[in-house]
Amino acid sequence: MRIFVLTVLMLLAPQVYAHKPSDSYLQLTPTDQGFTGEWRIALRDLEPAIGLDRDADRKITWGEVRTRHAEIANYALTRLAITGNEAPCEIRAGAQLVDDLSDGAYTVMPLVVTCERNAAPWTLDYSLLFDIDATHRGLVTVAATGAPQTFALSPQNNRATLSAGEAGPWRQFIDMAREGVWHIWIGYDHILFLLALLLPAGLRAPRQRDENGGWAPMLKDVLMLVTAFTVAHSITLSLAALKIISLPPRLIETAIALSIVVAGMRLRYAIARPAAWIAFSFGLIHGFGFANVLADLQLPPGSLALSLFAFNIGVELGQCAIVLLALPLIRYAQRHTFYERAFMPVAAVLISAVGLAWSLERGAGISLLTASSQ
Amino acid sequence: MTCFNNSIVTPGRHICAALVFLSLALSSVPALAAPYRPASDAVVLATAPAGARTSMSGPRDLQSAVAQAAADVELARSSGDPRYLGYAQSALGRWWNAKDAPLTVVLIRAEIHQHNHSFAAAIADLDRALTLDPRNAQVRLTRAAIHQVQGNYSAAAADCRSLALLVEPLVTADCMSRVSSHRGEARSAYRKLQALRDRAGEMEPRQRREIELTLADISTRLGDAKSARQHLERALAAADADAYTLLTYADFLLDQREYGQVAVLFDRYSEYADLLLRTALAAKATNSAHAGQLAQRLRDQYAAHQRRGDFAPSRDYARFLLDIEGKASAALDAALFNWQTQREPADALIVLRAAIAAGRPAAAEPVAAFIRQHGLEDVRLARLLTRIAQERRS
Repeated sequence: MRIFVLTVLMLLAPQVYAHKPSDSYLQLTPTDQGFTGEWRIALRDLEPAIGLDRDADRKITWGEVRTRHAEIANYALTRLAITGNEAPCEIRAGAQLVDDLSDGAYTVMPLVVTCERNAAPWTLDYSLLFDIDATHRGLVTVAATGAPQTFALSPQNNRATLSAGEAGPWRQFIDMAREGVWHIWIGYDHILFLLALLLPAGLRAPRQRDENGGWAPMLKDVLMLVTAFTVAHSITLSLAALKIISLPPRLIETAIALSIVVAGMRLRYAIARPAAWIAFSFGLIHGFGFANVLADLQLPPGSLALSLFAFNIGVELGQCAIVLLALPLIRYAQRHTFYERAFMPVAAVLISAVGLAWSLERGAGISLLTASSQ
Repeated sequence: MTCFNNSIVTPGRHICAALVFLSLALSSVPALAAPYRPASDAVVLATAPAGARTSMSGPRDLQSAVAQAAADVELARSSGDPRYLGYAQSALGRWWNAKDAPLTVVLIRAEIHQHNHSFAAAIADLDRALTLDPRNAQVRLTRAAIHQVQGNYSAAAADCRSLALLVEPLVTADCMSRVSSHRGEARSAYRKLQALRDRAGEMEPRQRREIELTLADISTRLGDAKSARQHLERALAAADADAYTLLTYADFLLDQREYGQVAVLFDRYSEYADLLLRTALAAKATNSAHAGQLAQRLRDQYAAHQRRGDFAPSRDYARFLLDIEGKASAALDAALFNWQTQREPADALIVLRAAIAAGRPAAAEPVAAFIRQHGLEDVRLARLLTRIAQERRS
């Protein structure tokens, strides 16, 4: 009979498994002392390992998990070891929560890793569940500037070596330049200021007007504008990033908003006056704004100058892209009389109004535009 | 990524947040939801499968190791959860890699390989097992099943024939019918097996299920839905639910456009992950409100599987790409990849469907040639082949 039963079972065709095998997800973020992180382990995996379903009703309840948190932490932490520069790091687990992933509920264990020597290379030895499940994988993600490092650890390959300095200078450069481009593209205040300056480019007061001007006066204006703005914000960005001058962020953000008001007013009342001085003086203020962003990026120590340079290049590239997109449109619109007669005054009022609203918001810390409410 | 200084309320923050979210979703960091604290101790978070094992460490002596691994493989089969294959592999311990492992180990090992779709490794182990024990019926049966799935019908038939003197006629007939029904003898194979089944008395429940599944499979291919339904219902009633029977039944219901029934099946057996794709297909076909949510779950599962680094496109994945994501060309690539190792009618079906949807009928030629060469009877395949021939002419 025994052989018969086995015989029956083995007739079945190999089947497709929709389930994926078991994984745990360990996410780490570098800190000054070591790492903080979160470790997600499937409750389904802890069941055969330590037996969560105490009352054997096949239902794993929050109560059954909650009362075993210490045991779960102990089980997991004895199967994870991290070292920094060959010295052991201490791993402590915080209060566990639950997360529902696509293949079931996971316990979420916050981790604080404190390294005796918090220096490269860090190693991570992982052996969770490998003793009972040969197909288990530890999927480790380490956040870093730029792309995160990821590892799929298996019984055959159970060690991850992390080198925070892995991102080479070129990679860092690209990352920082990208941040610069990104910042100018999502920085509506910078874009609006720039547009307000660009709109009248090439236009002259009636007595100076050269009727067959073509592109030349426009390009001349734009070149001057962009150069003035760039030189100015590069100066203050460097001064602030190198911590030579430091101004309160609120003051800077308010001043940036005011710069938009001024640029808007100029459209209405003072087109004849060259815009270069506005671009330069307010460019100084915008530079401080960029520096605030840079400060938030947690730059790798020792490469500040490079990062600064790269970030600035990114900002310039982003700015150039905006100019290149806007110029043909402006040029085209300027051929029609409505541009100067109707569009510019309306744009002036709108831009000034938005700038004014932002100034009030930022100055007084109140919310006027619904889009800006948190 | 930082958008603006944190202390300042800035327009564009929402767009920024959306972009941050998007870039997170696109990066290799798993899309992890927000952890929470359940409302009360009574909240059920997970279901432990029946017969779950709780042994802390793998058994040490050969006999208990093999017994444990065999139980795990059986659980993998009935539950459809491949974790048990990992448990089984671990239970075998050092014998997993041993070249001179005893017969019992080689057999289990072959089965694990078979379930993992490592067919070459499975066949190698089975060949070795036959040199150790030439009269072992299990080895012949397992090898026949693998040969059949791979479309090596002559080799499968040879293994089935050699069973004749080793096991009772019904088992041999089941084996033979499966193979010959793929080689242009579907009707006679069905009649022979049905006649033998009617003459047999009491049967072990799982064997009854096996035979009903074979009859259902042949009926489906012959286009006899009424008879297929009867056999499937008998298979379900014969023994406890198992993943393979459930998903075969769900596929049948989808074919018959009985989408409501698929949802009912999923509600009842929600722990069987294989049913998720079928339910998502049914939800999509009926424009159900859950369709998007089910599709997202599938998407997340496949994405999670791909991060492991051992993901191989299966026919189910190809169906997901074609019918849920609407990516016909990617579906065709997945289906053709799967076709390299798996050649059941269902594997052929998805290649043909994807090739038509992708507007690349010529890509299905290897499958069309295979069907012609073996005289594979299947009304669904025949319809699609006609369409492919028309599209290639036009």
